[in-house]
Amino acid sequence: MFGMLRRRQSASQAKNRLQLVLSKDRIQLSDAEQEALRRDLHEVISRYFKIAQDALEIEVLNQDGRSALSVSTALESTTR
Amino acid sequence: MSEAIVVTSGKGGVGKTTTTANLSTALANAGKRVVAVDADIGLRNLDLIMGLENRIVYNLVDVVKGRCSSKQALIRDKRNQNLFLLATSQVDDKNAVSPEEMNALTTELKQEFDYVMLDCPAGIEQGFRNAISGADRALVVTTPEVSAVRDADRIIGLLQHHGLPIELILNRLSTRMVEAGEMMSREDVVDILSVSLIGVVPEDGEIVVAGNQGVPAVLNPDSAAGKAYERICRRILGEDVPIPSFEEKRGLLAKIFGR
Repeated sequence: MFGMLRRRQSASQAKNRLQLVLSKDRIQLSDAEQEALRRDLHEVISRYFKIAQDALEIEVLNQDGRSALSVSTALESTTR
Repeated sequence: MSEAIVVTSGKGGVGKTTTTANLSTALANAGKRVVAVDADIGLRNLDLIMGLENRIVYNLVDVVKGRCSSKQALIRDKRNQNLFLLATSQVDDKNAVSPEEMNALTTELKQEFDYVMLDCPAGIEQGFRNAISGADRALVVTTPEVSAVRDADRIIGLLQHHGLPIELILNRLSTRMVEAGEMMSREDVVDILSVSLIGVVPEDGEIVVAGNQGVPAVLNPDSAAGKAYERICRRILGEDVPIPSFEEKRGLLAKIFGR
């Protein structure tokens, strides 16, 4: 009953899920390679900043036929 | 100036063959000499959608292997003198021909025709590489579903790597579902894939009827999808035809205001 009344708006869900999965698909590395990249980046960034173990987000953004690698992470502290 | 256009998608069942049949028919009706090539070796279907399944003598693999000339294998359409079909083999598999052989065949056909329309198989393997090898331009067909859009993104990446210009056809859009917030809109899909859109084809039961009868929907004046393909054809020919935002709208207000 509630399910019928609830507005699902599954279209926006679809869009959000796709954008997330595609940013990972577009990296074009195997799962193991992605994990290795994540580990390496974490190690390098940790030399300069304090970041959480799983905070690293790696994605490829496509715009106008060009691709950009985006690496983002939350800083636990701006110093080591 | 001849052009080879590959119709591709990644995912199966999103409307590649329907698109190839309709655009080929529309281009021929616009006075162009057109050959529709079924590049889906082993899964022959373009003949059926075009209503030419009883006329096949030789196929694409026969031509590539030199068992007949391309002229012998070309089947003239029943309704349009400008339109030809090169059917595929139903018994061979994708590895029966190489990308180099398909490239040579496409180049040969371009001598004879204004448009070579290549119906690509689903997938990203050899059949895909074959179909795109001689193409000058790619039309990527997708539906507004997560699986189709994801696969389209993969295909777009491969086509960009290959250096082909890409345009998107969004197929089977239901305005009613988009308005209800239960289907991604054309803006959503274009936003995700970031390629240029050449047309939106509305969901239309007439496509099933067209398949049943072997008569492409562009020949049916009552088919909303047929009209959409007609517009895409004009855009391929370089005309500036706007893409209506709600193609299949038939609401009460629309009827009252005659739109």
